[in-house]
Amino acid sequence: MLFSSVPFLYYFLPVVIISYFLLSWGVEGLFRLCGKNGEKAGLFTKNVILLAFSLVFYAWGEPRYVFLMIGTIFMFWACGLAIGKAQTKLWKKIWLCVSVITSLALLGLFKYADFFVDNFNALTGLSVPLLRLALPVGISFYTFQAMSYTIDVYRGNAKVQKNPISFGTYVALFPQLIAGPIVRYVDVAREIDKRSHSWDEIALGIRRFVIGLAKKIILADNFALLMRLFRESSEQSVVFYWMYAISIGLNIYFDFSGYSDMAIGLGRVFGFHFIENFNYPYMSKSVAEFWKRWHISLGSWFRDYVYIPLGGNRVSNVRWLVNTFIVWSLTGLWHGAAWNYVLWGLLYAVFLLVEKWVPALKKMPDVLRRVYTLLVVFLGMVIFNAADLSQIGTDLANMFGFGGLPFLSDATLYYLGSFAVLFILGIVGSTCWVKNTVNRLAEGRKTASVMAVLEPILLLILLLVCTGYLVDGAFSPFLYFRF
Amino acid sequence: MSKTIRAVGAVVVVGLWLLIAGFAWFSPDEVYSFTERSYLDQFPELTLENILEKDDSKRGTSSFMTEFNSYTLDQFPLRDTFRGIKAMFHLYALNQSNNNGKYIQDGYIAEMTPLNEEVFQKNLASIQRIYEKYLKDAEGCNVYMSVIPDKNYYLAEPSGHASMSLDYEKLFADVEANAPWATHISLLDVMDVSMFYRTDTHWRQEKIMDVAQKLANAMGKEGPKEEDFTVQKLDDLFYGVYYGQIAVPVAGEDMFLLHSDVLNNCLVSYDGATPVKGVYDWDRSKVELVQNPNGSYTVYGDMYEVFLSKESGKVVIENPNATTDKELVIFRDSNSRALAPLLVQDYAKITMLDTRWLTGGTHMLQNFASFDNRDVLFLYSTSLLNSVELK
Repeated sequence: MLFSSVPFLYYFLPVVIISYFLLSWGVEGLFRLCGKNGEKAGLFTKNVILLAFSLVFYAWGEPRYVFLMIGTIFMFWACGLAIGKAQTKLWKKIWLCVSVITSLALLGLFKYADFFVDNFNALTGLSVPLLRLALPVGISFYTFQAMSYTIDVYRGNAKVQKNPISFGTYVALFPQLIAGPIVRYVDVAREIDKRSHSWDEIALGIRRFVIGLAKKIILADNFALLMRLFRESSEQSVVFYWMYAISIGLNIYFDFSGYSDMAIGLGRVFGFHFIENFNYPYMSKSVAEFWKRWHISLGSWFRDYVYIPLGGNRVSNVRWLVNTFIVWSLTGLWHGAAWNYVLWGLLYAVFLLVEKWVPALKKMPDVLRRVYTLLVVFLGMVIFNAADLSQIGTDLANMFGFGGLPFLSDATLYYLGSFAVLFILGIVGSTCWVKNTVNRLAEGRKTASVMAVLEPILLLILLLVCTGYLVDGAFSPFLYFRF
Repeated sequence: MSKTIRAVGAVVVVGLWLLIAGFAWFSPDEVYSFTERSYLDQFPELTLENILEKDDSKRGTSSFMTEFNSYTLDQFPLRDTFRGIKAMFHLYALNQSNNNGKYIQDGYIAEMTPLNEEVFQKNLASIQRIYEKYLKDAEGCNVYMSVIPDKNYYLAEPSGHASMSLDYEKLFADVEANAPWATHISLLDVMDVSMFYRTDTHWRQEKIMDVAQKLANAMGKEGPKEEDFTVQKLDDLFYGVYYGQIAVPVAGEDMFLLHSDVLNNCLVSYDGATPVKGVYDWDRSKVELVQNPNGSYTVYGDMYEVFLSKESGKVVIENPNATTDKELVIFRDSNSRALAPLLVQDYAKITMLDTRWLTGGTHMLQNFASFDNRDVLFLYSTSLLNSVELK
């Protein structure tokens, strides 16, 4: 089930929210009347409801794989308990390895088996049959999330969660289940066991959710439309190729950050405060800064659980080079089982190294640094979005005028005119200008009350427009849920 | 911002959202959408098998879930209103040049028509096949051809869509070059965009007298006289096929029919059925959904079907008051339904063949008509030639 769908928005979510608040308050009230710990009972009810509906949410997209999800929850919960109870470091390590190896094995089987078989066949000339297993939705997210738990328990950074319902709620929590952010257990441990609600928090959550929905439906999906029109056009040009590259970048950004906004917003409604996943990455002045602003939860996961354990940058230059390439190859591979994703990851590895070894880059004027960063990022997006390796070569050649295409075409001008407003909204929306302006107006003495009235009106308008797009359109899946 | 005001705002947003959700849950299901001219999905079968069965077209999602998704979209409350909200936002806030491939220019809704070379060439080949197999050796057969420009021909340039449209002049030239055996009749000098319905693909019957006149004259006939006809306005407003597709709120249009003594006495038969008197199908002059005794539904969803109905491969109009025994065969699309009544005064019989609905298409025409001593007119619109295979 996707957030940007009518079944979710108008069927599933109302039932969840009504059940979550009414049932939990009812149970809490009942227990208090009986002189028992109402708060604990209420929280337990909330977690049961969230877990149950999260499993329904997951089963909606993958009925058979919900058992895989339940098995994963149980396995990590049990390993966490075992690590906590183990008397020696050796046994702690063994149970950690069991959890990590099992989850990586599952990820490898469902996501990468056919990739490896394909390449094996290509190298050897054999014809080993492919498994053709359907990819469980969100497996890359929830396995990484669950691994962070056992690793942090092993490291002593997190307490063991003995309650399987509470743990299951953390792993399966539907707001961030299928497309992140990758929430670490330590970040929500306190709120799993104790959380409060207020209308103000719910309002902030709703605001975040609706803005995320609008980013996805109004911006991301319309950029996706332009991408499709480009591929179908028989009148491509160099300028059209650049429009396409920018569309990919804006489509992926608004799709993914929109989803993260919705996840964070929903989390807030239910009393959770997830970490931010995007921080206006297109305002970065270097590739290094870009990766501190883009998909923050993934970058920090690889940093804390792969890069630093490998030694990080506190090793010899050669070893650091190797570490960097390993981490970025894995980052690319995490996004998809195809060589273009690996190439995309390695592109960043190269530029991170360049930035490290060419300090003169930092001395460039800010505007040039931003242009350089955007150039690397958008070229990377073209690689990321390519259907295969040969398309990368064709696309890049055409972008720089080596593909025999004209500089401009009638179709290019047509689409430039048609999508001009969207580009402006996308470019402005990808900066912090809108947020800063709104915040300034909300805090201004003369404008605060106007903004207070305008905000719910604007959110309602966005909700109605998004609903209109959903009703008029067809299936529009998030990009990242296939990971 | 004060927390209280923010909280009140949240209550308002949640309240409206739950209200819409409530209607989504509890509104009775609709059967048919007149704006979209299609049946609406009903609640899918809820069985374990349907839940576990995969829909391979949707990435392994279960059939029930896929069908439920379609059901919720089709049955969404105030569906047309929400589609209108999206259309208005898309066209005017985002300044997009079209919505679902349709655009508005000078009050007319038209469709972008990029060239579909494959379909166009297949249609030229089908026309050639008809000539080679049935007309070339037919005795006394006069063959004519005319192409009706669609609205986009007139509106593409002023609306800025010319670069996204097919090259009409080339299309007209290709049709003519492909059929040197026919007498070509250009309609460009007797047509303009005002002849079309604003919300539909079709032309207005009351405005195509000049077209009928030109075709008749080219075929050596007198043609219709305006004074012989009276005009009747239908009660209901007409909302054409583009109205539902573009989803922008536009006004309905008056629909007019032409009557004459000749037409009132004509007999019409569809696909060989018993002829009925009169050239208009009055059952279809209204928009309504009729439930049959067996529980199924009959839809009268398109008022333009009053003109000699829709899905018939062979329609025959007999003129018992004809002063000639000459017959006309029209290879046609739906535009001929309004035009043929304006040609019938010069013929004893008009046979209209739509090969899309004939068994065997263009390969088995001997089962439906003979062509000796007949005028044969190929009358197709540019939109059909470019997008629909003739079979």
